[in-house]
Amino acid sequence: MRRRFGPSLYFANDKVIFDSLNQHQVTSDLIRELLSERGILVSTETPKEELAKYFSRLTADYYDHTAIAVKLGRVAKRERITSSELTGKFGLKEIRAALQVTQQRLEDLGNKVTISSENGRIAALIEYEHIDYTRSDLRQVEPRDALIEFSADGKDSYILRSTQNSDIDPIVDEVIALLKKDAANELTRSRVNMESITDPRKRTQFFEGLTKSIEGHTFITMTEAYCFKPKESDIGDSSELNEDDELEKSPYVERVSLRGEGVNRSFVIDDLFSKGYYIVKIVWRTKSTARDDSDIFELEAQFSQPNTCTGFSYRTKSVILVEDGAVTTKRRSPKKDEQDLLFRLIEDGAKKTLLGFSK
Amino acid sequence: MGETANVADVAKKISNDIFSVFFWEVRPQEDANFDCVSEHHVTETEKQKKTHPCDVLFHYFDPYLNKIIYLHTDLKSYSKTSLKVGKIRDALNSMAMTIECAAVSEDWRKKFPISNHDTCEIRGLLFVANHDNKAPLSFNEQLAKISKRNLKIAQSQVIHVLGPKEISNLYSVAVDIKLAIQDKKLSPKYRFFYPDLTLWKRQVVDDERTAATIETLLSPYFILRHPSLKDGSDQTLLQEGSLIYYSRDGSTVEEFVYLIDSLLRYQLVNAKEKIRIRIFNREKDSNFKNNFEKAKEAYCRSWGFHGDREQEIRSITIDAITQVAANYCPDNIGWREHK
Repeated sequence: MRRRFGPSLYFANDKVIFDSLNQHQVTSDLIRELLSERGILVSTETPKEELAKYFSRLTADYYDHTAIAVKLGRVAKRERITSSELTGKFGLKEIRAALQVTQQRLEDLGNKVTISSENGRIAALIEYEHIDYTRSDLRQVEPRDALIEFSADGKDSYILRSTQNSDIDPIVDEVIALLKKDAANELTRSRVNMESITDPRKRTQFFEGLTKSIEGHTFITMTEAYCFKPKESDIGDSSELNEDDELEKSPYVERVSLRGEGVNRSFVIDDLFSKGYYIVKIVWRTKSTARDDSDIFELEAQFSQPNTCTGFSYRTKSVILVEDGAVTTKRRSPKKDEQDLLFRLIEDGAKKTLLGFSK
Repeated sequence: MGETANVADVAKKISNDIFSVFFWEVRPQEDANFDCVSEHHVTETEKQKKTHPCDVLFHYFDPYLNKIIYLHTDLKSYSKTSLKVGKIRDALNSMAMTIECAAVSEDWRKKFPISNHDTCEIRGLLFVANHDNKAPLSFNEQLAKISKRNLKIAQSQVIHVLGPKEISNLYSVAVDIKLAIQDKKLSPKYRFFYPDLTLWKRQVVDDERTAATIETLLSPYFILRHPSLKDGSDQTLLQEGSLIYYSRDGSTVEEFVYLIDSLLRYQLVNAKEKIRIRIFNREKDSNFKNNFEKAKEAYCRSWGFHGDREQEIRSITIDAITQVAANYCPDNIGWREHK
């Protein structure tokens, strides 16, 4: 998490408010609403910019600032999840102790951490502020939630599932380090990765295998594929390349993304594969085989570090509704139990696919 | 509808009780109706309007806009039984037509002679009191039900609304200011503070008797700047400084951290000046003083303030104003129908 200067919310000056209200996603209705809260009624014909100018001239305080930030804020995004398998001489007691140490440290920094445990599961919910100085003032501080969860998986083994982002990854590492110290270093962490398999075709096959290994579900189509080709200098020894050589090698395309339907079967992608590109991220659709009219899940999986094919993470993007056997354009958010099940199935599918390579 | 008081007397009363303290000037008119000049202005029975009404005209100078703002005011009061959404909507639409005409009417200019040298803007003000004291809060609930989209306000025109709650609050602040002057806790030469903003600059010098704009009065807080006060033997009774009237309830530490940050950004916090905050919210939190102390501490800690700088922050004081009127009502002026 980033260090911040002074308090978490700064006085927002009139220009900051004016700029925020002038963004295209802010409607005139919203500004009229803000004005009417101050007993100011204006015409629907008054242009938005004039209204934004008016509101920016008014004194705003903490409550105004947070209310505007909420009104401007995006819907909380569904974050990606990553997982590891932990084996070693430790149990729930040690996990709780490690989480509590981290809880103390995070709460001293002003975050809120709630630890809960039930039936062999122990979870820490972290409420924190994500700070991004590249965004406009009213959007720099964004309240976010993150989860770190351990669930028992047979004897001396736990699945660790956590929100994957640059704020939370170091916290997970910290908990594991604490646990490792407690377990007298007898702890191994294994994560899904393709680091040792450098063949681009095999790296691509991993994702194709994954889409077809979701137990109890049938693969429908792949709608997005992100192909990546590492720069050769990144792989080989670059010490002998001088600047002129670099220029001669250009142009160089590192990433290519394809969107549509059945993108993994298109002729474009075949061409890319033959040139050494491999898939590092996909979005695909799948449905349960249990019922004919079950809704369609849209899933996403990726390696966050494309060069090494490590940092495997995934999420359920959305659910497409099926009504009377017909696919609609309506979407809904996945339910908690659907997510839990799909996460487990994606993890299992990824492991199964990896096992296939080592045979 | 009951007894209806003389509108001119009511106007004089609210002006003395409330707006004179905020340096608003008033032009009461005995017969202030002026001719309608817009063909599309019709009554509820679809008849062409002949005249538009005016109860009182308030005005003040807006230092950011560099304009005189005329508030074409409609005085209304209601009882628990007479308050209806429809009546409020009609009053707002009638006001919308009034100011649309006032902006271009010759007759208006004759009735309300205003200096041609000054640029000005005519706005509407709907002043609504509750005379039976039984429903001071329900006005805002009813107002919220009105779809603001469907009001017939012309482009770039503005209507301000002061309901019973806001009026009572402003009355309480006005009383507090008068008492402070009487008790030698405030110099009568106070002025309202307008910081230079990024997009808006104050167009007049700071030491004039700048009035409080209506936007200022309905802000979460507003600031009075005052010179020092001395007694007959030249002893200082009160340092110069700022008096901040604060309208929130003081229930959180964060709101005060933000307020302190704002005061520092306005460059108001220094050892030579006294800063006093006064809460005028009727439902103020019982912990507001505690929260304010915590906020000062948190603010100093987050910026690593020590010594004299910390002392400047620490010496900001907070108090609640002695009494906030539950309901201020000048008289029963009734929901008069306009033709």
